[in-house]
Amino acid sequence: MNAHLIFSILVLIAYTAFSLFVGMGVGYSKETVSTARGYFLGGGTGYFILFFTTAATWFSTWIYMGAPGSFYKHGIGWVAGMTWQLLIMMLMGNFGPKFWRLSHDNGYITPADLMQGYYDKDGKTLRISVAVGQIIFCIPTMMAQVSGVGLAIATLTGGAIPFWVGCVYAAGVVGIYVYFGGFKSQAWVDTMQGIMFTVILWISVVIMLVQPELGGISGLFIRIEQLNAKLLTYLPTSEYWNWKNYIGFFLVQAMGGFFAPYVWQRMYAAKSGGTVRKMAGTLGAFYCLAIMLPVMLVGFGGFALGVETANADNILVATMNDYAPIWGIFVVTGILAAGMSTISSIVVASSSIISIDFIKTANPDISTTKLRDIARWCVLGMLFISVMASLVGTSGIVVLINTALAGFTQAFWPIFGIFVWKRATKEGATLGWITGIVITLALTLTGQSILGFIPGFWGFVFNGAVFFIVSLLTKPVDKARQEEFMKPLTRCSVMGKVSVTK
Amino acid sequence: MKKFAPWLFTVYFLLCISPYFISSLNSITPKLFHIPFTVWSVLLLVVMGCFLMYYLSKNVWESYDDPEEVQQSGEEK
Repeated sequence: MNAHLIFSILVLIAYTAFSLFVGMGVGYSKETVSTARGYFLGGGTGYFILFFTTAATWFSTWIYMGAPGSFYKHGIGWVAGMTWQLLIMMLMGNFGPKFWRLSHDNGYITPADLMQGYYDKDGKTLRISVAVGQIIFCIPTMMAQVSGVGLAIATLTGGAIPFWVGCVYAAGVVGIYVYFGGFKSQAWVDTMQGIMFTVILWISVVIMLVQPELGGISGLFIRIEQLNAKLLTYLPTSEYWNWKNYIGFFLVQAMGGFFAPYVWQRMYAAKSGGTVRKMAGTLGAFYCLAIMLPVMLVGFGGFALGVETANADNILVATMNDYAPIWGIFVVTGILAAGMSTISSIVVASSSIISIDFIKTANPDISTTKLRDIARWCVLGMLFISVMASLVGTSGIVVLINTALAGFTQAFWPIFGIFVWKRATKEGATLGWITGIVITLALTLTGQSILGFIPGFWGFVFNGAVFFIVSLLTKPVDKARQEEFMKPLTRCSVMGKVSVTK
Repeated sequence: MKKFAPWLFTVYFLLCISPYFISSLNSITPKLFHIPFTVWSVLLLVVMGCFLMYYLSKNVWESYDDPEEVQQSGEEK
């Protein structure tokens, strides 16, 4: 065993011990996990923890691999990955506090709870179709992160710890603190991991910029201009990353970034609506300037330093291997932190969907502790499935991973119908949802991009068309039902204004 | 202001994609401390977008908090 490997394993052990300490010690609360709601959403999360758990959930291994690789390969046009983050905040600011209030007053835990609460209080069709749609995208997303962590550990140890052991490690560690502590433990570990992967990213930027070949930000851009100035301009439609992909991704990624159940549930989990509003006002700056800006600099830095790699996704790790091998160990730990924080959030969200939308729907009288116990088994079951899927890795699963955010985006129209377009109907929302998901999957599977736009964009467009047409042809939600559903919002909206006036 | 918020965001989005359609915006010059125009202009835009989000959170978006609940939780503390 060489010194590098021994140090890598020591760092891995320290990271694991710290994660378990935070998850099982600081974040664990026996009282909070005594009910199903407490297990899935915690006991009211304050601004600081909510801020970092949301960031850590949203940003996965992608910020260390796919995103820098895209800047390295496609250039400045990929700044879309930064600009679209603010659409998430627009949605969060508009809908987040409403979601919180409705969940607080009505006990909603899953996204389908809210949709069914408005469209179809006593029915099951919409709930089941939403839950199935979300689960089929959640599990492959989790699988992708498990694979990412497995690969990172194999890279970190130079293959001494094989890929499959890395996958089992990821699922095992996450499984321990999520099984016992649910959302609260996971939110605390997310916070630790979120701070960690952001700091590691910035230190990597500094390491690149102080290299004599670059000598700072100015040197970085001078060098790129000398090597390939095209990387600093937006590309025409003959290139892959053109305006059509920019718009398609802007829409799909950002909406998916808010409507993904594991982000959505963070609105329910907040301490108050004010906490969500405050987060929506400040998180955008963190997403864009604290995370995506260093991601851009890292991608450009690798290019400017002339680092060559067969797979652009490895540009950060490859650059650190060349320029700061010891720091490379911490970069890989950053990948673990980014991946595991996303896995833990998805596993909590998925277990809540299975427990509430399927099991509780089939057995409404089930006790809250029984439901929590079932959820814990769901956590273990889904982690097991993710590890197995990672090891098998079929092309069908890759399709689901690529379309996951597009799938979550389809929730936009049903929500639009609840809060904006009151003529929307249960049939319109359900058929639109199903159409959106089927179109997205079908176009992805057949590899078609109509008029050059991505499949998720067309799923969104067709979902909207079906949603409006079917809604106009069917009976709208009863006026009394609409008013009853909105009562918590109208009450608090009016009360807030009265209080401000006083 | 509530009505203008989506329009302001639409302007932000249009400005973000404008270099694809207006060739004079898709240019490396004028540089700022050697940083190309295409880079610093979009960063400036993003910073302005972040300020917009902050402004909306302070002045436009509602929290739907119940003042009585807020007061109660304050007293409990």
